[in-house]
Amino acid sequence: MNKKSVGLTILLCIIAIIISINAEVIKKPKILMVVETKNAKSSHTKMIKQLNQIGEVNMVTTQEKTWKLEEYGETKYDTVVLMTPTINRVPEALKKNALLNFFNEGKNIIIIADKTLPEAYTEFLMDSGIEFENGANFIVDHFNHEEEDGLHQLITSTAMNRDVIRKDVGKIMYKGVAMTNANKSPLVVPILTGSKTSYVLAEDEQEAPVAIGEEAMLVAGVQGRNGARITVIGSMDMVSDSFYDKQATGNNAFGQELFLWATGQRGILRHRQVKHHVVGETTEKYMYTINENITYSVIVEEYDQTKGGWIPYVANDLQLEFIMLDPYVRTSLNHIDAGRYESTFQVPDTYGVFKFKVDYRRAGYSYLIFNNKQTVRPYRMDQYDRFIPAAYPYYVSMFSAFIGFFIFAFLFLYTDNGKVKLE
Amino acid sequence: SHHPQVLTSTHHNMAKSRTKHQPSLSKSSSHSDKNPLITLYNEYLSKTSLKLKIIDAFLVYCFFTGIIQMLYVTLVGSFPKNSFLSGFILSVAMFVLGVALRKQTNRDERKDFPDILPERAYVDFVVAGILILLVAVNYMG
Repeated sequence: MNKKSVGLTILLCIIAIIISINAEVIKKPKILMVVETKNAKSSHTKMIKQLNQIGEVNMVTTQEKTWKLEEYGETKYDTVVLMTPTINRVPEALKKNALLNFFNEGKNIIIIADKTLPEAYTEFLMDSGIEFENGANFIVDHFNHEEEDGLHQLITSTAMNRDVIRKDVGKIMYKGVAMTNANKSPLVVPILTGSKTSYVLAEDEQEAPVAIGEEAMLVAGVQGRNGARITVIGSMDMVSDSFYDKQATGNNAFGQELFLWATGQRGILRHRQVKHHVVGETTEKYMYTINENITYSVIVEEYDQTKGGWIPYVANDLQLEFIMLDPYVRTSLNHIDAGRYESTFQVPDTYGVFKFKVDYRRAGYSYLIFNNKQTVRPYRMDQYDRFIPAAYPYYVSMFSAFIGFFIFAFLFLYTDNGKVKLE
Repeated sequence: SHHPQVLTSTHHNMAKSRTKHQPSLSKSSSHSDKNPLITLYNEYLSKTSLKLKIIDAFLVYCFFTGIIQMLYVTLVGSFPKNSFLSGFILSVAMFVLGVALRKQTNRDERKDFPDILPERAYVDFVVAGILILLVAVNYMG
């Protein structure tokens, strides 16, 4: 009896180990929220609840000195939400270099601004491509505003990136400063912009406006090359409870979708199972020959927390390059089933070391860039054409030279001056 | 105007009486209006031995083989370049070997090669011909 139970427990342990190795563990992210005072809890409860649904929220204030973004070289959190717009000096843990290191580790940063932001944050954002001008004028829209005062600064907008905000949330209410992509950085993803009729005046109202229409970003994102994201929400009011509760606006639903993207819980792409082989065979060869037909296939997945983790990514604009300094072949990858993409093409007539390169960048998704090296060799000596039709005259001349040579040699030997000797 | 004619005719008669080729000279002077090419052709047919004629036939054959290949190249281009070079150089080399054999076996010119017997010349021709054929076959591809 004892032996049986021991054996059974060992078997169960082994099964559990195997399951745990094979299963993909979906961890909830750890979110650090930094506020100025604990009052934020009362004015932004719905936003905090949304964040709690996404991950584990740890709220600290700037007065406390006990918290840090990283410890002993390892980052402790996956996302940091900075809701400290009016402080003058940021704590040590949030200086520009600390934020930069945190971002370089692949972790996300969410900054919620008001009329101003601390200088450390604006410098960090300037380096990332987003220009936030402290004390700038509020964005104004005379056509899409809510009736509050004559200034028309409480605007609404529906111009948003539909790859980030996947639901149709309706119009969003906003009051505050707008940001611009001053250097036209390609990493900046405008998530919510002002509508075409909005504008931001410059300090000196005689000059040209700072931003017009959809240049003015209300919620701006930066997609880093390592997969990390920065999100800047230009107005604290936009995510406050009062705006969330307003009827006929979609701020609540917008916040839900936005925080999923901003914490990296949606729109992260990855690839697996790169396979390539000659058409008709099944095994991968170390070297392909020139002018061979090969098939390449790869599985691309997207991470979406609301759908349970890694789901197949379906798109019709993936491209494959077969490149050696120049892309000799550039074809589209066709979606076959369940996130598997395939492409069949002919290896070019040049030999060398190529790579299969996929370079897929779309606003709202992380960048999918990967390559696999591949050697291509020239023909073996017995793979060339045996008899080339263009060379037939030369073959004929050679055989005729043979015949002529032999006949002549024979004749010359057996003639005498006068007649041919035939003995 | 009279005198030069008389002088030349007497000189001519004196020359006639002295030289052995009297009959041919008179023949040529009487046929001086004929085409020199035709004369060359007739003299060639009558004067050269059969052996030399055979060599010349072989040379003409190789020459035309080479000409045809050059025509082909100017029309179509030299795509399998190795094949073109092999075939063409084969023709040229055969021609050159034939010329060498002719020079070394021709009785009139044999004194240029005092220590080469005609048999030796023939063997040289055959061995070199076989070598060049081997090379051509290999390079033809």
